[in-house]
Amino acid sequence: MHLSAIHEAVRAMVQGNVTGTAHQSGSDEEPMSGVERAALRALRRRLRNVRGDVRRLVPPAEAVVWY
Amino acid sequence: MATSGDWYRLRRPSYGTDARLRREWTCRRFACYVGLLTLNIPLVEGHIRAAISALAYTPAFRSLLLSLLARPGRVLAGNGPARWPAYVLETCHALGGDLEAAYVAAAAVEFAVAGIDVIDDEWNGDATCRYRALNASLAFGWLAQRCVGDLTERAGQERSRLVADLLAQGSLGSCGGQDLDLVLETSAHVTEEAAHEMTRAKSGSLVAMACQIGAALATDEATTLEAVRCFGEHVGVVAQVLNDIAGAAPGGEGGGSDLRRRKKTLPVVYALRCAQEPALPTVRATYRDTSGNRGDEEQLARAIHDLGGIHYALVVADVHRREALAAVAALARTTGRPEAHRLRRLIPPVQFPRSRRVAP
Repeated sequence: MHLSAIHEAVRAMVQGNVTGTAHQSGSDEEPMSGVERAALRALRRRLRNVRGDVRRLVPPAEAVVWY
Repeated sequence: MATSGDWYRLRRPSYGTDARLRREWTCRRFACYVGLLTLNIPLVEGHIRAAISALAYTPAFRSLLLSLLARPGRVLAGNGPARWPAYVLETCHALGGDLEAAYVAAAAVEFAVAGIDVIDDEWNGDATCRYRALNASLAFGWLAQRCVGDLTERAGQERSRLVADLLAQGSLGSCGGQDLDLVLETSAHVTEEAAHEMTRAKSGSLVAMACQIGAALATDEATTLEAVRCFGEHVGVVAQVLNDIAGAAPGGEGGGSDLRRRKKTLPVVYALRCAQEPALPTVRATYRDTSGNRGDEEQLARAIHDLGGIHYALVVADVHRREALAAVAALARTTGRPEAHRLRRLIPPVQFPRSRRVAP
């Protein structure tokens, strides 16, 4: 499993870069598997749906509580 | 009992004009739908009580063993799913094995897992309480072996030996993961790969063992047993990561128990790696301080959450859930048994908790 690549992708998304895809394919030598990309897409969808327009106004972590 | 979802997901294979095969498929699908082969957890309870009662223990020791097996999630708890027997029984049923033998095997698995879990549990009582639990852990190991011995009469010597091998292999794998977990607690630098490997060994191998034992009562084909092992390992990792999330989330069900013990679970290790950034020195410092109070744990949980540790762990769990689903589909395809789709019920759902906005 590409844990480092997933780490980078999640970190970018949590920091507000929910539309970016640059971090989501792994390295050139070891591309992410289909299920890894699908799981990240699910998270990205969730973040995008919840944040909407508020992500520009306040830092994401303060704007959303996930429990 | 199969759900209506199971009913619709069972795809009919191409049997051409063979009426016998079509009829057989329809009967199997109907049995799956109405749950004609309902799995009987009370029979496993019966085997467990009989095994404990049959041996000449003192009443106090018998009572201790029964009370440990009545803890939440265990088979004698009586108010929730008994997941360990379910792994054995569902897999055995899915692959067409002998369910009567599976009840005995499920008792053996329950004993083995109870013995391992006792070590992992948090003991807030005095030293006597802790040592009694460790003694009980030893007894559970021997009770598991005795159950495997009972299995010989029902399933034959060869299958019984296979079950004994799988039980030993899975239990030892989990003990190795448990040890790694304890070692990582005191280690300053833990990578995500190490935490993931610990999770896989600790929980993945245990669920894989339970599922393989169920499968071994139906078949001795190496490819099928390997496919079941793969499925079980993914299920075990999903369950453990979800447990780790509960133990690290602010206000989670675990109440920050993992943080109190400074465990290096996957969400924690993610946050510690993020905290290497210059702007976030407090997380690492707080985690090094083992004299923390309740306030520190809340602060840590909040920091882990804000850094994305919970999101990260959910993504990892989701990856394993998807792999487990793929393994079930492959198993159903290669064995030609639609009942294998029932194994999807063993995969814990991975859902992002309901979100709510708070005022900035």
